[in-house]
Amino acid sequence: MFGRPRDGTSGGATRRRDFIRLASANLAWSGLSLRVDALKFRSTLKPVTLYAQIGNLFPPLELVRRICNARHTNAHLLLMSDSSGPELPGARSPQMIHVGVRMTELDPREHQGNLQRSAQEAVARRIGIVLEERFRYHVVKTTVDLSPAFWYPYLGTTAGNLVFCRLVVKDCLVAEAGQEPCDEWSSPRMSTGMVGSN
Amino acid sequence: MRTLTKQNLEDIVVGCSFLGTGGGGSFSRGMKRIYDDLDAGLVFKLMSPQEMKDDEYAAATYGVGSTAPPTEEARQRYAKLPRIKEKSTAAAFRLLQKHMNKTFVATIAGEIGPGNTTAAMSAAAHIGIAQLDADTVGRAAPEIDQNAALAAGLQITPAAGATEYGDELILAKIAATSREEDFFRAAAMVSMGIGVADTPIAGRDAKRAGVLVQGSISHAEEVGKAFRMAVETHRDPIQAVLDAGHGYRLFEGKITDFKWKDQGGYLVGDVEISGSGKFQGSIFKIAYKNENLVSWRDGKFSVTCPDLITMVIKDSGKAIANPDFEKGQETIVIGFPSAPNWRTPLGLELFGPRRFGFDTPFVPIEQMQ
Repeated sequence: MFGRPRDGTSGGATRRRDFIRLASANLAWSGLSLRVDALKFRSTLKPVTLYAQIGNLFPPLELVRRICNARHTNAHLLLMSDSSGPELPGARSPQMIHVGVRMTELDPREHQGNLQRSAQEAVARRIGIVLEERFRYHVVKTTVDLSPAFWYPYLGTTAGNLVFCRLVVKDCLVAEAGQEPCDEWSSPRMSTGMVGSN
Repeated sequence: MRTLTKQNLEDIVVGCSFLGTGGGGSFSRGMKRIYDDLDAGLVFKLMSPQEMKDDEYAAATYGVGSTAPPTEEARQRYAKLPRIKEKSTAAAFRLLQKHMNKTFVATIAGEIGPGNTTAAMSAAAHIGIAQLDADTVGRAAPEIDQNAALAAGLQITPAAGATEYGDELILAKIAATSREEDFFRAAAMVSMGIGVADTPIAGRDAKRAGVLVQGSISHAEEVGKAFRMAVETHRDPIQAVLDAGHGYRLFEGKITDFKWKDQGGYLVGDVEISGSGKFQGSIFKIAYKNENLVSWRDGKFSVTCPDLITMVIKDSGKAIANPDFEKGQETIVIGFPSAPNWRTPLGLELFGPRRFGFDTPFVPIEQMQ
């Protein structure tokens, strides 16, 4: 079935080389498939804009209780939703999601409660992941609240180092349709306007 | 005198957020100020007025700001100015000491609010003295002359002001109690805020009942501690705050409307709440000038200043700072009796509803229940 190799190498070596070629081809094919799958996955994600308040000292009490009850698990990120149910947030009612993040790889004892920039970035990365995995949202723009960010001061010794976040998620497509610009977030306190209302 | 721990300080700031009645400065900036000072190794000490010797002095220190954003031209002009290394509140406090040729033993909080109470505590920690367990209001208030020392017939001048650029002002005498506000508010508007020190007071006066609101820092701490312990033990934290602060649950419902504007450096507005549960069918309205001042239920006056009106978010128990409202937000309105210092004819002249243009007499909150 197979001709003798002209370079005089053994059949075993040839089989090994063929196996490597085959494996490489399979790997390339798998890689391509994975990339296609990733593109398909990405294409199913809804583009959203995110306004994130990181280090909220007053999370919903329901979330605090959930985290207390889960204090012996390994879950680093505990989540609750939300103000507008499972539907994608429309421009008229942005979705509110509260997240509790348990930080383990950073040492908060360097600081008395301030959440440093590097820790905020770590929290933001985890938030992006969970929004993709659990909500199938792709965050196209993130605005972080300018208020200072804190470690949660309560339950700290028993439930790990907690950071609570309040997320406001807006559907970018709805915004693009002309209902509301998706990249302009403001609160009365932060805006430069002189008059406000609901 | 006692040294305050991180947890004591956190409890104080949280308690101040409920007693700040929608104002009293930023909660998050107040908390950050405390954490920054702890990170820097500063020590916070709390001292009772009763510990002062008769001839020792303390004075209030706080910040006066403007909510009006500066113009671009003004911002560029300010950017070229030098900056002092010290906090403007501490600089004003030192200036007042120098003017009076006295060394003060403690700072007094200008009000109970998360921003301004921590400003006084931070100034004390930076200078290396104690914070007095007292303040000049017992809550947060919009104007400088809502000061219990004035209600007791004392003067609050001489006063000192310092900006972060190094400007220093002494207000040796004022023609009327409202003039200190006029001068410092004007200075704040051309400086993006100013640190103020006033109400220099001797121990013999600070100890007298009715001059300062004594024990108000400890009271804020008790309220904040009650909140914390309720959260940790899964009890209702709002009820815990009411129990600790001797307060009342005034209303419950959803925010349906709100308006606000910047008026002469004050945040002025109102918020309307549509009742739910046992308040279904009723409408509650609150008017504020920086801080919540008067309320109406179904068009009739309800709790008014000097008593305290505070809105809290139902699902988290967080006190709402004006004007951070969200339409549809579930809220609970709570109220607390004011310090007795204000329930005198002179006190009500300075801090009653008529002072702010609301034509109604003051009725104590406890008589409305």
